[in-house]
Amino acid sequence: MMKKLFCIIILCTSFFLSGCSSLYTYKVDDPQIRSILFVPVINDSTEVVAADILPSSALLYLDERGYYMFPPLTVKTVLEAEGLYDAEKVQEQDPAALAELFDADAVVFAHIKVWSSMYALFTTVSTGAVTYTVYDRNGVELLNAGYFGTYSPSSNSNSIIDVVVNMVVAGIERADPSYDQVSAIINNQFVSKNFQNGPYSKQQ
Amino acid sequence: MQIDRKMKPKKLLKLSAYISVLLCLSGCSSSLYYWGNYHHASSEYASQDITETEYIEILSEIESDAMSSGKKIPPGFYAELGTLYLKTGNKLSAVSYYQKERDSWPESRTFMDKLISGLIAETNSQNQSYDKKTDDELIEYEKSLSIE
Repeated sequence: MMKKLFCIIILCTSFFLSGCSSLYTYKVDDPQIRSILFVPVINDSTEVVAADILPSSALLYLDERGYYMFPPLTVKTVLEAEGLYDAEKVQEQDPAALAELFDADAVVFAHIKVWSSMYALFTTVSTGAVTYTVYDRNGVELLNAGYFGTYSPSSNSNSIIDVVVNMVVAGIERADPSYDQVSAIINNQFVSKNFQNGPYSKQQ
Repeated sequence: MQIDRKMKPKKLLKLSAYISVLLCLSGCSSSLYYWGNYHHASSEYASQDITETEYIEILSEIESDAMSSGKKIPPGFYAELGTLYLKTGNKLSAVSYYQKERDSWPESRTFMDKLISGLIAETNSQNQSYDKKTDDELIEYEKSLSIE
């Protein structure tokens, strides 16, 4: 009797949990969207490299979500050849025209609002805040959202060895912050919260 | 990837960060593609810590590792290699990698075809202008291209 009851509870729980995932609606869930153009990023911060690190990291997350993301270095090179050197100029363009130029199904405009590193006692905290706007190939806005991420390489342990290690690591971080980690955290939120599994996803 | 014993603490720290990113990616589900240390290398290239030639070497190594282990190269990878070759002046390799990208991913077809036809047209026009030159002009032209 108890065994049967246990089985029923397990079945009901798994049924409920499997249903939960389908209740979540993604902003980008059109099966027609197979390819995504991530145009050069507007960067309000003083960290110049952030604008190049962010799309390189996005490639990893969008590809792994099952989409074809246009290669960021190639996109930037082609747009520069077209005379579009500034990300501001690129994002002033009609997203539908950009989509047509690359034959992309969706276009992402990203804007770095914050990208900085702060040295505190025994630790360095790197922070980033980015807003994303996604358009479909006709220029219709699909989503507009902002994400924030922080990264600190320090250990949480209070042992004297860890405190010393944290101080050394913080010093290294101060000289060369791990912005790629911050971009990974932010892009992961952007992709996992908004994009349904793409055509190359195993779960599609 | 081999870990150099003389690797600077900064590099070790970065490497551990990339490994944790990869572990995060592989934690929930298995990865669709083989990335090697792409994330690390692309960040180093963006920060100008490595040259185009060094970046090409790293990406080529990732490509051969993927091939030998039977894993799939991610979308955009071949095109990035093509663009890097283009930046170093190697148009033939650039075209070859753009063709690989086009043949691997149908979504890239229009874009890659534009790049390939543009590069071929550019090379042809250079060859035509080369054919029309006199012997003296050719010597000067080759000198300007640093052809020995």
